[in-house]
Formats: sequence, structure tokens, C-alpha cells
Amino acid sequence: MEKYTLIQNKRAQAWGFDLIIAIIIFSIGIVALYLYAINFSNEVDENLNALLYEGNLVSSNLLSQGSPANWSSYDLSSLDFMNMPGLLENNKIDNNKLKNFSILSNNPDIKNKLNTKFNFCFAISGIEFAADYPSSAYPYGICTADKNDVQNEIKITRFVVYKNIPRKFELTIWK
Amino acid sequence: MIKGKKAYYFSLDALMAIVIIFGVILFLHPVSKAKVPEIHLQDDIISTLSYITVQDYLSSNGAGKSYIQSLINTKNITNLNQSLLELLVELDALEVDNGNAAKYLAAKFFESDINYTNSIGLKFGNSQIYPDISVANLDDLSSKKDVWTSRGFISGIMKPEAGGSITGFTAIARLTKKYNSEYFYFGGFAGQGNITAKMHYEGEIKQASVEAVFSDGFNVYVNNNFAGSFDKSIDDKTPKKYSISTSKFNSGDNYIKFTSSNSSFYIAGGYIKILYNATNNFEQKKKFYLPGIEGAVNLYDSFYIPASNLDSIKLYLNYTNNYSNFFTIGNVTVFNGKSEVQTTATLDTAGILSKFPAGTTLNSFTQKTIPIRYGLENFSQISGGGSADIVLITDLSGSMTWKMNIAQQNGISRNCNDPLINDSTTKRIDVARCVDTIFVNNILNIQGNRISLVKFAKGTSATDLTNNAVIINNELSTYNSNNLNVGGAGTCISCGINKAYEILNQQSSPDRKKYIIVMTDGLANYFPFVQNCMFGNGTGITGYCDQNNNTIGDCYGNGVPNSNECINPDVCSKTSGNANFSSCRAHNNLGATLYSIGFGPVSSCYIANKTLNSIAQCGNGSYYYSQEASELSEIYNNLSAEIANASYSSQTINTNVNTFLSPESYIELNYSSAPLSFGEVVTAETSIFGSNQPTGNFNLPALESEADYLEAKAISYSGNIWTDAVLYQRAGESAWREVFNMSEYGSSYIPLGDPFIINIPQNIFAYSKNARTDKVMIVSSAAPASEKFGSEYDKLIFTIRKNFTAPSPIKGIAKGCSWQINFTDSMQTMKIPADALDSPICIYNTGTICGGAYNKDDAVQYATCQLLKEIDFDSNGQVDIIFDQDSLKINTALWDNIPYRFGTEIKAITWR
Repeated sequence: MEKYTLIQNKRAQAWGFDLIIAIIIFSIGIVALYLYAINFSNEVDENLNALLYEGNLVSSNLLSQGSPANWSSYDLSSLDFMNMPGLLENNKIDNNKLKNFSILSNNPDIKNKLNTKFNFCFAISGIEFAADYPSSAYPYGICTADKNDVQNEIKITRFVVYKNIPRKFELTIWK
Repeated sequence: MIKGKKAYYFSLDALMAIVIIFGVILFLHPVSKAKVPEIHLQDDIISTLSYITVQDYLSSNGAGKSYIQSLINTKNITNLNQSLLELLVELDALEVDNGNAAKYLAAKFFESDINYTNSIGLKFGNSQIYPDISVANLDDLSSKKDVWTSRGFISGIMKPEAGGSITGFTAIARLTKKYNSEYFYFGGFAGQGNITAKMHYEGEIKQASVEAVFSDGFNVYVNNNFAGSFDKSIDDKTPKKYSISTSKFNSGDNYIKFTSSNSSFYIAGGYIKILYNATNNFEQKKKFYLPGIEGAVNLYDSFYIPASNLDSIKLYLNYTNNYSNFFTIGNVTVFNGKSEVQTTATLDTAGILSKFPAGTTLNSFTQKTIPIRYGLENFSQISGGGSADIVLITDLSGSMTWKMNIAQQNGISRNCNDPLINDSTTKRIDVARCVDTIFVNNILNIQGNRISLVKFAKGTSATDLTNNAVIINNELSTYNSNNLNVGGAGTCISCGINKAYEILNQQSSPDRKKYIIVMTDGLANYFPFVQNCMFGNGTGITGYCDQNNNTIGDCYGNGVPNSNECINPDVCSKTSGNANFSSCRAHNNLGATLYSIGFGPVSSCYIANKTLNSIAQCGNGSYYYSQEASELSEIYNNLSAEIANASYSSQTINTNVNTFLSPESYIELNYSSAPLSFGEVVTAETSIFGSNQPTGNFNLPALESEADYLEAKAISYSGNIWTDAVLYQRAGESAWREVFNMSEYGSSYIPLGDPFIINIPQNIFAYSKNARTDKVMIVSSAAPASEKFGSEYDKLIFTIRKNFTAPSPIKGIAKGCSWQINFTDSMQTMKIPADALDSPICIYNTGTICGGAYNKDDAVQYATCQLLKEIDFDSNGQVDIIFDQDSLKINTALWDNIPYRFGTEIKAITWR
């Protein structure tokens, strides 16, 4: 009787121990699943998504009238007056705004005005930037910085009207 | 051992669960990673091609430019204002170049201009424009991972179905069977008693209305049939407008009679207007019927001869008048008569001209509005004249020899016609004499007004109240530096007011309006010292206002008088308080209105300002001041006009005599007028001037070279005074051109007529056939005066000869609509064309110009809308020409085999 009782107690202990181990393992699994879920995206995806989002945002902002609409007529030595430097006038790229933007492109504030933290560069088909916009400093377009040591970049393509011709507008944004 | 193995079952289950979870994660991971980027290219395709017009593109170096130019040369492109997108759609619909033109151009845009050929496409309806179908079939992109589509729609262009033919409609809206307007104008004043208008028309009457200022409630009879009872106007410048039943009118002569229980009933400007189906052509009116009057005949009116040459003039009067009566043309009485029985009098050209000065010809009457007057000669009790007794008080103290703006410096003596009279170096007394003269002449221009002159210094001197301008002007001529210090040196303002009180109290009467104008150049330094400080001999102190507006002398302005100034030892308070007391007494006891005027540098002089202000306040008048002679001149001028107008009661006469002027009486003018052959003749009214009075805008529509502006009439609701002047300002000019000036006929308006309509000569308003906005100013006054005011109900009526048609382009449908149209005087609903459905309703009114159910793709609706816009001259949503359903003709045409008409869906597609 006593022996039987001992055996019975040992079996119960084994099952109880097994249950504890199982709960621990399952809990670790659930925690691992939770951690995986909240860290689903990897860093590369995060970067590209952010670039994609901000690239679209910047292109949309650039392809607007800007605010104030006649911002290029202001004194550009300080950008306090400006909310956003859009390039359009009557739905077409305005040469004056484009020229003034090329001058402002190196201004560190210009990215803030366009609601982005990334550097970007844009080009319009048919424009020889090196000749037409030497102030942009880059032969391939108007840029906020040179494209050295770029790890991730996104290219956004839009169509615009420039000098009464439909043109391709390409914006490259990078990190 | 076996039992021990059983103890791992839970752990094994947990491990398996974990494995399954991670398996699911690994399985789901690729799906979650497929994030779709945002693509805008399909939108950009449509927008960029929409933003560029063909004309714009031709000015560029676009790759398709030369091809577009070749299509223009071959007339395949005619509209350079359409966008490139519309061009592509049209080229595709018209199948230009065997249907390849649109594809070729699209390829030029995408491949050369944009330089982007990756995965973009363009499709119009069922036609694939880009890329070639061998590259990608836009109807089968099922193999593509993602497809984005942007859609648009271009109306007016659609490719016909295969083998089919497209039909479309055009419509022309045209005003044809229009209504003629016939007006009877009552003149500036027609009374007093029952009034009858004779009107003639040939045709079917559509509408009758009357707009006029009625002195009392009245009944209307048309051809002796009762046509309604109506209320009077709220005042003499606010007309009432009523519709009159047309059932009692007949084609031919009609008599519209206005009767009132008040025997002094009158109409102070207004007109009857009837609209009728025209069976006659427009003719300039050559016979002006006078209003028939039963009662005390009292008529103020006018006539106008539009031609430059007048052949003859005839005056025909049919009257019964026990009293001497007269008829004046301009300022010349051409007729005097008296007859106990009904009789007629006719004056021909010679008879009329014989009354005018030698050398007067008929042409002196042409192209201007000439006032006429018919009235009773021996009723001098015209309460329409001035009824004012005015005492003009002038300071003749020693300081009046000083310069206008500087104290203690004598000025220069100048006459009123001296060019330097307004210079600051002029003596104050000379300026005072000149502005007094202006004031006196303005007041005495109105018969019935009287003036007394009071001059004061320490004492006073005065003339009696008189309307004799010679006496007054003689007295004014003594106002110079040799005659100052009346009664001694000093300035006793209250003495002057008390003298005015004495004159008005003794010489005026309760029914006359009384005014006292007090003028001084500074401080009241004397006051009439007797018991209770009211009247009597003055107590002298000294004091004046210097050029820096400082109070110099005994009165330093620190003595603010209290309510018991007689006890207050401060003398300044007493002088000021006494002036105030005298003003209050004159106002309270006599009902006089007191105005005060400060001469010279008094504006900041405390005591002087306080004294003059208190005089005006207690006298219920106003206080003015200036040290500029020109400003003072304007002040006196305006003040005299204000008093003249306020004291002028009406053009009525106070009598209930029974006299009669037949409505058959007339003035007939014979002159040559060119026949009219082109277009429809229509009459339109502008909106009332409203708060812009006395100025109103005058919108004239553009005319074809054959069309004409025929006549324009200014409507003046001058109330109980006269239309004084009408001026015209052409668009783009700052100068005003004189159209009418009553003062040409005399300085006193009482014997003169009063125009209600003032014709604007053609050479003034018909100077251009371009649409434009000119301005008209209509000024009313009781006498020649600078103050200008009019009625907010003044307006213009103008007549033009023009074809009114409006075509539509080819449209898909031509159903028409039931239109709710806001005319200048009413809202009407009519079906256009007549067989249109009752609903839905298209709307043309203020704020909704071609709205409601209006469909611009309906040819009839489109043409109707364009026509309504054309006859809404001022684009205010109120149609200026009144017509009915029968008058607006719609001609529609069905067009077959047209290449396109309705609408095309556009799809821009991108994919990856």
C-alpha cells in the first residue's frame, strides 16, 4: 500500500513537471511570435517604404503651386515666409520657380519645407541642367545633396508640363 | 519507464504547437511583404495632355508640332484652343489619316516628348491609342501583376458605331414677335385733382402697369371702367408700382383715369406702361399728350425733340378755367387764358416763337429736354415756394480785419471776384461778406424766402426780414473794415442772437420756418448784463483766438460754466452761457433752428468752440468751422441749399378751385426721322440707382454695325422739388457731360416746369457700339445749389434696335425646357419651345443664370440660355426685354452623318 502510494505520487509529479515545461515552452513560443509580429519588417523594407512614402510626398509637393503660390517673388534670403516650394504655375512647371528652387536646393531648410528628412534629386526630360541650371551644381538634375555612398534609393516618375511640352519628371530620393 | 514517458506528452504538444506557429509565420511572410507602391502616372497622362492647348504646343519645340501643323494646313484641326487630349480624341473620332493621326501623335508625345514608354497606355472608348496593340493589348492585362487606371470623359465628341451614322441637333433662339412698350409720362408733378392719361396703341395688350409717386390713395378707371383701388406712396420720392387689369383696354385710344377723395391729389413723377403685340414699327413720338386734370390745374412737365431740325411745333390746349391760367415753355410764357366754358386754344410755330426773344428759332428747342408748365396765374399762395425766414448774423468786431488764419495781423481787402479772395491773407470781413452774398442769393432764389441781416460787435444792427435781394445786397456791401465795431468794440454773440430773436418774434409767423445763422471769429467777450444775465447791456472783457488756436486775453478757457453761471464770477462762463441761453430761448420759444459758424482759427479754442457748439446743439442745428475761405464758401453754399430744400414744402397750390385741362391737350412736334429697317426695336429699363443715387450705372449691350441705340431717358423722381441737373459720364472718362441744367431757364424754379424724363441726346450716349457701362447722375434741388441728391428709385429707360438671335453648336438632343425666367419686373414661367415638357424646370434668375435642370448638351436649352444672357444687359440675372412664349422662336435643325457628337470615355493605364 505504501509502495503503491509512492508510485502514484511519482507519476503525478512527472505529469505536473511535464505540464510546467509545456507551459514554459508554449509561453516562449507566444512571446517569440509577439516579438516577431511587432518586428515584422526588416530594416531594408522599412527604409524602402519610408523612401517610397516620402518620395511620393516630395514629388506631390514639388508638383504643386506651393505656398505661398507666388513664393518665388519673395526675398529668398530667408525662407521664413515660405510654407512649401511648389514648382507649378497654372498646372505647368514655372521656369522662374524652377530656377529659384535650384538656387535654394542646397539650403538645409528646403527639405523641411517639403516635409522630408531625406535628400533627393529631380530631373525633367529635355532639360540640360548643367547648361540651363548651373546653380543646381549637379549635371543630372536639381539635388539637395550629391548622391555619394547611397545605400537605398527610390525613383518616382511623374509626367509634367514644361515649356508647353509633356515631360518626364524623375525624382530620386535616398538615404 | 512507460509511465515515465507519458510525462513528456505536454512538452511534446507544446513543441509541436511552436513548430506550427513558426510554420504559419514562414508561410505568411512573403504575402505580407508584397506592399503596393503608389503610382500617379495614369493620372499624369490625362492631366498633362489636358493642360496643354494646341496653340501652346505649336509655340513649343514638341516632337509632334510639325505633324499638328500639317493637320492644321489640311483643315483637319480647326480649333487651336482645345487641349492635346481633346485633339487626340477628335482625331481618333474623325479617323484622320485613316485613324492613325491620334496614334501617331500619342506616340510622339509619349516616346519623344516625355521619353517614357514603360507600361503605359491610352484608350478612347474602344480605340487603343497607345501603345500599338502588338506591344500590349490594354483589354488583356490579366497577366500583369498590378494595373492602375485613370478615367476621364470628354463631352461633345464620340465616334459613331461601326456602320452607323451620328445625328445631332442645332437650334437658333430668336426674338421675333416682341412686345412694344408704350409709356405715358406724367411729368415731374401732375395735379391737383383727378388725373387722366390718354394712351394709344394698335394691337393686343399684354400687360399694363403704373409706377408713380401718388400723394393719396386712389382709384383707377380704364375707359370709364373701374380697374382697382390702390394705396398712396410712402413719401414724395418713393414710387409705387401697380399692375392694372388689361381687360378694359382697347386697341386704339384709351383713357386711364386716377381719382382720389382728396381734391389735392397729385402724381409727383411716374408713368403708365403698357406692353402690346406690335403691329407697327418704332416711331419717335411726335405728339405729347398732357395729363388731363380736373381740379386745380397744376402741371410741371417737359418735352424733348430728338432731331436736330424741327419743322414745326404746335400747342393745343382744351380747357375750362375760370381763373387766369398760363403755359410756359422753358422760361417763356407762351399762353395766357381764361374761360368759363370748355374751350380750345391752339398756338402754332409762329405764335409760340413770337413769345420768345427775337432771333429764337425752332432749332433752339432741339436735342434738349425743355421744361413746360401749365398752371393758375393768380394763385400766388404757392406753398411750393420757400417758406423760410432766416436771420443771418455776422460778426463785425474789430478782429474781422485780421487775416483769415492769423490773429493781430491785418489782412488785405479784396472783392468777392478777386482771384485771391480765398487766400489766407484776405481780411475776414471780406470773406464774410462774400460767403454771406452766396448764402443770400441761394436763399432768395426761391420765391417766398425772406432774410434779415444782423451785424454785431459790442452792440447790434439789423435789417428787417425781406425777400428783396437788392436791399439785402446793399446792406451786405457795407460789410467792410470801415464799418466794424457795431456799438463799440467787443464780441457779444448773445446780443446778435437776441436781436435775431426779436426780429423773428415780431416779423415772422408761426407757419413759416425760422433759421438763425450765427457767425463769429472767436470769443464771446461781451454779454448782455441785466437781471439774471439774460439780456441788456454788456460787460466788457477782452479775448480772442490766436493763430495757434490758443485763447488769448481774459478768457483762458479754464472756466467751465456750471449750471448757475450767473452767480459764477467767471466772466467767460457768462458770455458763453448767455449765448447758449439765447440759442435755447430762440429754439424753444420760436421753433427756430440755429446754425453756428466759426471763422478763422477757432477749431481748438476751447471757449469759442464750446460757445458755438452749444449754440448749435441747443438750436437743433449744426456747428461748422474753418479758417479756409474756400471751405467757408462751401459751408455757406451747402447750408443755404439745405435750408432752401428743408423750407420748401411742395409744388402744390393751396386751393380747391374747379378747373379742367382735357387729356386731349398736347404738344405736337414735326421733324424728319430716318426710317428703321433692321432688327427688332426693344425697350429696356436699368435697375434703380439704389444707394448709389444720385449716380446710376447704365449698361449698354454691344450692337452689330447695322443696329442702333435709339433713345435713352433718365427717370427722375425729384419729389416735391425740381430735377436740377442730369449729367452723363462715358465709360473710361472722368469728365461729366451736361445733359440738362434747370438753371439755364432761371434762378428761381417756381415758374418753370419739372421734367420727369430727361432724354439723353444720341450724340452723348450713342458714341460707340461696344458693350459698356456708362454713368448717369440725376440731381434734384429746390434751387441752383451745389448740394446734389436724387432718388434711389431713379433709373434709365433705353431703346435699341437690334437682332436678338443665339445659335447653338451641334448637340446630342434638342428637347427644350420649361423655363422660369426673372424679368426686371416679374417672374414668368414659359415652355421653350412650346411643346417642351412642364418639368423639369430650367432657371434664369439672380444667382442662377441657366441653372436648375438646364442641360448644355441640349441644343434648344443652350440657344435659349445664350439668348437670355444676350438680353440681360447688365448680367444681373434679370432679363431686360420682356417677351412671352410666342415671342421667342426656336428653329431646330437635325444634322445627319456628323462624325461625332456626344461623349468619349478616356482611360489612361499603367501596369507592372
